[in-house]
Amino acid sequence: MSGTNFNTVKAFAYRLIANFWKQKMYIFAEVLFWPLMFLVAFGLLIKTFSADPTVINYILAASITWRITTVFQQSVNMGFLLDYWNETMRQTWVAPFHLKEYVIGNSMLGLLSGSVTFLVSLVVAWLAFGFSYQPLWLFVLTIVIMAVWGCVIGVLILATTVRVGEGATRLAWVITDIIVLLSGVFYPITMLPVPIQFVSHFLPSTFLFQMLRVHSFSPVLMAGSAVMVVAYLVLGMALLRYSVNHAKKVGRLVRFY
Amino acid sequence: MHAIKARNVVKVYDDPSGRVKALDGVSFEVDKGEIFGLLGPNGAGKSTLINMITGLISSTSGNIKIFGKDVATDWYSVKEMTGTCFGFARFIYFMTGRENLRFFGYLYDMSDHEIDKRIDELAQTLRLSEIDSRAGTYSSGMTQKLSLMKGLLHNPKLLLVDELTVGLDVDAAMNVRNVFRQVQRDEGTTVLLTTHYMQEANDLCNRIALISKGKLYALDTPKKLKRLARDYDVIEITLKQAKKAEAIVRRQKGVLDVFVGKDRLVAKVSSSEKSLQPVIGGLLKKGFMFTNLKVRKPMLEEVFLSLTGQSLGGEWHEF
Ligand SMILES: Nc1ncnc2c1ncn2[C@@H]1O[C@H](COP(=O)(O)OP(=O)(O)O)[C@@H](O)[C@H]1O
Ligand SMILES: [Mg+2]
Repeated sequence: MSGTNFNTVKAFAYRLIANFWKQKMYIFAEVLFWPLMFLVAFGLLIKTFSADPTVINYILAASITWRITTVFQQSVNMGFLLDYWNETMRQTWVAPFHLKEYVIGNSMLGLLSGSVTFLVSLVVAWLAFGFSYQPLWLFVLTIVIMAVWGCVIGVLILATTVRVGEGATRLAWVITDIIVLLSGVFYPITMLPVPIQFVSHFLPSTFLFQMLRVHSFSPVLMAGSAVMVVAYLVLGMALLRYSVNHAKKVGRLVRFY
Repeated sequence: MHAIKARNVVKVYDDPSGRVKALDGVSFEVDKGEIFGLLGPNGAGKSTLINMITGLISSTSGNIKIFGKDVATDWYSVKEMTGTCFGFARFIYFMTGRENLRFFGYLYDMSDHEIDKRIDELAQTLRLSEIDSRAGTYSSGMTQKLSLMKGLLHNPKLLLVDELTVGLDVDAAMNVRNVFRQVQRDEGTTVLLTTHYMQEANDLCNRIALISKGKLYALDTPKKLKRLARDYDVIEITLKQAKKAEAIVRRQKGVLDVFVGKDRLVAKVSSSEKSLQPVIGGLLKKGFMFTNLKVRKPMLEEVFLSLTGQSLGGEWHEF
């Protein structure tokens, strides 16, 4: 594969952002309303049961982190859904681009709206609940890796959608929530049935949240999570390439319109 | 080097409902700078073929080269060189025509300045003044124009067009055909288009491939193709109850075949001199009234029929 063309990345970023900029209600709901609504709900809930600031700070940090992860996953999938909803699939796919440019470009909506959501959430968590996670850099580093993990989940969903067809677009809206359950975000994974715990060990998010919960950095867990994310990314891109070739065989890029 | 070189192209769809052989060993070459038409009825395999040239569909066997680059192994380069216009294409609903085109402009590695300049130029040529309105509000004719603008945006060496004039009014369709001639003349663009309108193929294309049921039956200039059928004449009659008249006409001397359309009957005869009297006489005797009568040489439609045994479909008598 040749180098990344900046103009191509810009194309996908531009289209996604321009399209959603015209839907002000959508922006309000996705960037402000839902994230803050969940943040406040979780904050109030945890304050009811615990006065321990390390616990309160963890729950707030975890809920902000998940929101950002979801934003990135949805952003990566949104480019494909946009083509699906508008019946522009074949128009887009006859134009020249590499798959990595497609993924990076489409994740830019996530970067933009995720940054806004993150900053507003920080301010609201601080004002409403005195949020101050320590060490802050661990929280920020976790969010960065989780953002990439969100994109990778997006790529895996994308590969599945291109391979099996329309029905899988629904996956886009539930898969990260399933991964929340499996990664033990709001409870330790030891509370899960043993076979499910086994699956949890294949998710980088499991180890990132383990660190976040005890407020302490572990080089092994951090490096391990990062390596896992990269491994899933390589796997996801290979699957996506395979799915696109399959779609060309059965004519799906044309039938999706 | 040819603009397009297709060798033994086969496409088999494995549908749940069964195997469909959409293309059955098609080979042809398109020369640089020509307007080349794929003419055939619905279901002939035209769209499948054009989608395979764009690389959206891969071939079951055989190969296609665009200016020497293999579509299967060098998809990216092929996509850079080609522009594609789909009839009934859609665009992003909430974005303006210009914004939709800007997206494609970036994909074709153009700068904002280049994009806007080209958009204004094309909007003027095609008379699309609503370029800054939302694409979702466009009529089908406006959308077809936007589709053509999209295909021409980056001055491609090869323009692929799939049934673009379907659904356009006569004026707009003529304008679109003129644009094809113009890019051919001024920019040396090669144009490959599919159509099931034989008059369009006849007037516009330097060469035509006749395609039916996944097979290529003939490939030549419209003039030479029509010569294939010069050993008979055609009598064309406009009348009510054409269906009823068919049996009567079929019985007359020298009548080889009869085709019936809406209020229209076309008889293929070995010689109009021998058959005109009996055909007209037979119809008058039974009290048929006709509003128009034409005796002519065979057109592409009849060539198509005699080669493939298949009609071009409902629209064949419109021209
Ligand atoms: N994705 C597909 N899956 C299965 N069959 C298809 C698919 N696309 C086209 N076909 C079939 O292939 C044949 C050729 O279709 P098409 O290329 O659309 O013809 P045309 O454009 O000439 O009308 C038809 O019988 C059609 O039903
Ligand atoms: Mg077609």
